[in-house]
Amino acid sequence: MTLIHVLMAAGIAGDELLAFLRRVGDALPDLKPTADDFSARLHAVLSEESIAKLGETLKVELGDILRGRIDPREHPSDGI
Amino acid sequence: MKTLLLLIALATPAHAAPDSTAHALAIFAGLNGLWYNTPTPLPSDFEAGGTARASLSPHLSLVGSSFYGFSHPCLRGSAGVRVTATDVDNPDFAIGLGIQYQVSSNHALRPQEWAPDVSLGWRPWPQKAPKVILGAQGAYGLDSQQAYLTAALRYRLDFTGVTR
Repeated sequence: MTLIHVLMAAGIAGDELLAFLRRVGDALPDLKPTADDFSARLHAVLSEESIAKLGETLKVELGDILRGRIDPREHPSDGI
Repeated sequence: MKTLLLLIALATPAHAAPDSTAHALAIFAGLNGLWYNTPTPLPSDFEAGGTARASLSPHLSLVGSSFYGFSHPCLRGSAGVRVTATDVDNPDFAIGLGIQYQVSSNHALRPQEWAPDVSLGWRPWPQKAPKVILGAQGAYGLDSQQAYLTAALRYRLDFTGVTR
């Protein structure tokens, strides 16, 4: 399974997350704008074009990592 | 737990970019509400445990977890990779796509398998409570074809430092 296939397969899991965000918005009207915003961002992330672009970026970053160059970032999603 | 400790041991960076203000390694204490397949109003299970990550590049991190489930007793762990698919310089919101290998003490409940996942993390109070993260994750077991949904609360532990 290539890297791209892994990222595309994650889209199946993305459907679960989208359904959850919908339920949050329906159950908690105050949070609906936030849930809708997150849903829109998630839709954008899961597009084929977005994933293909991500694949290209990752090739460059993998090369940097293999050369021993670590360039960390803070991503709240990494802690989930 | 052994999986998580191994991940931490391997996460020591060989060389950090000199202008980076982020830390490569971070550990979080966590609570989860968990649903298996069906969208019931209340979670099927509650878990307590922790996660860890080693950020290697702007988009790529190694991630791992270890949790204990209370409603259906199960000790589980996972390790894998995650790719940040949103703005890599936004420390308050991110969506990650990845895959992890899951192991557990209850194979009927949580089969050992590869599971792609989509994770959303949000720091809703970056000034007042910078260590608190809310999030959610959808995962899909490739062998079992079982879907998992997790609502997550995380608290970043102090020794790795907080960037803001």
